[in-house]
Amino acid sequence: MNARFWKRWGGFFFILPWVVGFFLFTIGPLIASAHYSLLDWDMLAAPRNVGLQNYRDLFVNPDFTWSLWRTALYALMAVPVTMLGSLLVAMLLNQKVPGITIFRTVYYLPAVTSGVAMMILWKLLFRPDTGPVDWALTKTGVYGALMAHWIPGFTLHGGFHFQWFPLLDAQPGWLSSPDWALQTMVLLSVWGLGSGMIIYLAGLQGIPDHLYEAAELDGSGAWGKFINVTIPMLTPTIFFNLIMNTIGAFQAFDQAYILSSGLGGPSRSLLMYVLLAYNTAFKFLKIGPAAAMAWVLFFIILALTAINFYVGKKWVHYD
Amino acid sequence: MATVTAPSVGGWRERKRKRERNTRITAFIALTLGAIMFAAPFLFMLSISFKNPAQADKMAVFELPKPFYPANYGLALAQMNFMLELRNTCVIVFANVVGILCASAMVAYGFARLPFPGKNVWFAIMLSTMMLPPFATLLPLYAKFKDIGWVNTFLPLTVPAYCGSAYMIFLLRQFFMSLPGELEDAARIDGCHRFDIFWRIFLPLSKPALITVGIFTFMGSWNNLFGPLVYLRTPNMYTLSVGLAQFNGLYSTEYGRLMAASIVIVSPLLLLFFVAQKYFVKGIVLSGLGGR
Repeated sequence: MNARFWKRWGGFFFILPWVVGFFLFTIGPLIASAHYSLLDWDMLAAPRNVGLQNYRDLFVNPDFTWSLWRTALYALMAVPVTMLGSLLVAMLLNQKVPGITIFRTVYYLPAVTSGVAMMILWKLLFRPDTGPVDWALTKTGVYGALMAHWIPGFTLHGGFHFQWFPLLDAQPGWLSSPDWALQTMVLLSVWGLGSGMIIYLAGLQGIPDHLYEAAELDGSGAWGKFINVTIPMLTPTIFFNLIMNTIGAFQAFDQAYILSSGLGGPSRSLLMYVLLAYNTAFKFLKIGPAAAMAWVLFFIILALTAINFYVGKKWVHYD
Repeated sequence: MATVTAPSVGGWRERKRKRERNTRITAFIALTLGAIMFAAPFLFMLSISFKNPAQADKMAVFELPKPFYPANYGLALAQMNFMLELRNTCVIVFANVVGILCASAMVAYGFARLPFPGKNVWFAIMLSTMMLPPFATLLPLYAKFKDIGWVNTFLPLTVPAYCGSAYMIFLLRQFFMSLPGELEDAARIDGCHRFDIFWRIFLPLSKPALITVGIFTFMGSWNNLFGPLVYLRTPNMYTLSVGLAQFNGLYSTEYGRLMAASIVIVSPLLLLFFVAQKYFVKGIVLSGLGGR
């Protein structure tokens, strides 16, 4: 162990904790998980090798295809909504307005407390008929005045009924209705936009003032500055949030677990992918199929991230 | 494109100032409306938590509690095994914050400031683990932890923290990269070793980033439902999140109590964020994203 060794390898010792963790808690289990996915095992009796049967079973299992579809729909709706919402709030919070500390706290908090407590409250607020949300919409005449069949809607594969303007439906029943539970969960995800907002805010504050000044000298107005300076400078941040949000949406668990009391109802409408995998493993003790689900999820996320990176090359600017 | 000529500069300034004021006023109004929407759930939570069962049942959220009924708090805490769950949560949260901070800061410093063979490869691997769904590694980990008798202890929920977390390492690395390099050079000339430079120079300068990571970790493990749900089996080991989720199943008609319990669980987070929020945005540096 001479000085030259330390000069060359000293830095490696700093990252050693992570390298150890990577082998113990990431790559090791990931490989083991691939092995598990080939087993018929309940963690009690001796495992039996069944080859690729678990994977074949998955794709004919109606719960599996259904949950995959529901999760994709959730991501498709929730990701754009939270991305746009958090950018908008971050833009507003980046202005020099009085009481900025309080505003930041208020917008960030629901994201932080989005755990169990918030979901329980949402369940109460969105209770059909007697719940405050329905009460307010009835009182203000939103229900009744504008009925659902005025608004075009359509039905997608899997009984997913899509309506253009949720609030114009006559009493959608929110979390208790199979047609609405998922949209309600998307609506609730708006309150969680604080985590993306913080990242955007950091990105916005990293944009140098002289770029705005230059744009102003060129005669750009607020919109011009937004399009020509803010958005291009912010693309790495938008990209980061897009990747993180997509990954997060495909792993939605807590919301669905609490809102449906762990069952994924009504009529499996909140049966998110990870919830199904969790139930398969820990309720029904089918370790093999659950591990197969884990691997399929891993590949889906890998593919989505790869697509994001590929498409991202075309629109993300690194100064 | 408007051309600015010399005589109109004064007018241009004036117009600019006016436009900025208008932007600020619009932003303020929009923010206030949004803030009402975002704060409303907490206010409802607070108000319901002080209602007696008869009034809470009506679900008239715009009605103030009458009579004022703080007994919900006592009842909820008694039913929930609250003190025990609070203690469990605190142990897990504390162990996580310490572990993540120490390990992530060290690893981040290695990635940000020190040369060693294969650094870029390791960094790329680390970034790619951020997209690995935790569920993909969960089952073998669970089986292993079960084998060595760690299920229904806090160890599966705390030990991995001491290897750092990819996301936090990434945040800290970005911050360390933004600090000027002359610092190290000066310290090296004074004869400081790597670890001394890290410990005496970098850590004190990185307070905003460390606080940000600390708060993220605190909030994440305080709210964590999935991990405790998987690894903790008996009620005496439950954390507040699991306790509240169970409470929700058992006493879901006792809204006042449910909300009182929620308020108690949420309030430390509110307090923490409010106190530390000025460091928060400063601690997040994302420039140089994408590993250029």
